[in-house]
Amino acid sequence: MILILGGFAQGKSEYARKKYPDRYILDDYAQSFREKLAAGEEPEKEFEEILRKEPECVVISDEVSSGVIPMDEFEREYRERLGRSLVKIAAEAEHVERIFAGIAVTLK
Amino acid sequence: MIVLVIGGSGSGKSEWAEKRTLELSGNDRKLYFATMQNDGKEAEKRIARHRAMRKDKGFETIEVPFGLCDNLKSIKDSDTILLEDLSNLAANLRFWKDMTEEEVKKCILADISETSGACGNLVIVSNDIFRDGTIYDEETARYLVMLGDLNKEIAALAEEVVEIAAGIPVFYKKI
Repeated sequence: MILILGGFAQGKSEYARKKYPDRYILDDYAQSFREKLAAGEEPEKEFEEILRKEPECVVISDEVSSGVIPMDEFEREYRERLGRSLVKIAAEAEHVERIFAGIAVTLK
Repeated sequence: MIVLVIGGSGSGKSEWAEKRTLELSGNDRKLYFATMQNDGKEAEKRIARHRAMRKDKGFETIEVPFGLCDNLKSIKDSDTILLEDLSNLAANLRFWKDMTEEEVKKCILADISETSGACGNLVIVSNDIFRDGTIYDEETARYLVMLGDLNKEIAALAEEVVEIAAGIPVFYKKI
């Protein structure tokens, strides 16, 4: 598995498609994590299922946790749980990259 | 030496800072300077999570919600201190003690300089809360500037400055 992180609109998807054309790409991880959490589902478990089927996948996620602690409880839970999920994914990934203004920086 | 560890929420910064503290302290004493006040269910949960993380690692916990200097006498030069965290300490002084931003900065910087002089290593955890693109009310904006200033000043004093992203350290300053 490969993890690609970065802010919104930094060129993560384009980079992933170019660099890993033959891999299964799981884009918008943060967005779908939020939707599943809002629907009362367990996004972490659902990801485990995807990973079982696609162990070589490329996961693309926005970094959303570098802001003021939100007033809204759901928003707080979302940031915290997404963050912890990304820590776990990064620990298991063979490779972690962060895209900044279209440029990739290797984190792992 | 001073180590400044910065990260967003859920970034794994506490875990990393603990690991670094254990490395630096070796067999010497490890002090955990806790700043969070238990003011409700969420704080309780957070405190419990951090306590569980520290369990069996040999930390002595000292509550320092309003500053470090009261404890100076009990610090030895072989101690490694983990201060968690700067944004909480700053918020406590600003909003509970009603100090101005300037007073908070002065107080914390003086505390840190004295404490780091008295102990062997001081590992400071701080927050990256500056990149959500939101324009906040004046008071929050002033708090952000204050914390940004503190991060900058402490980073200048620190021998090691590291950002934690998804549990991975990104070094900005390293010996």
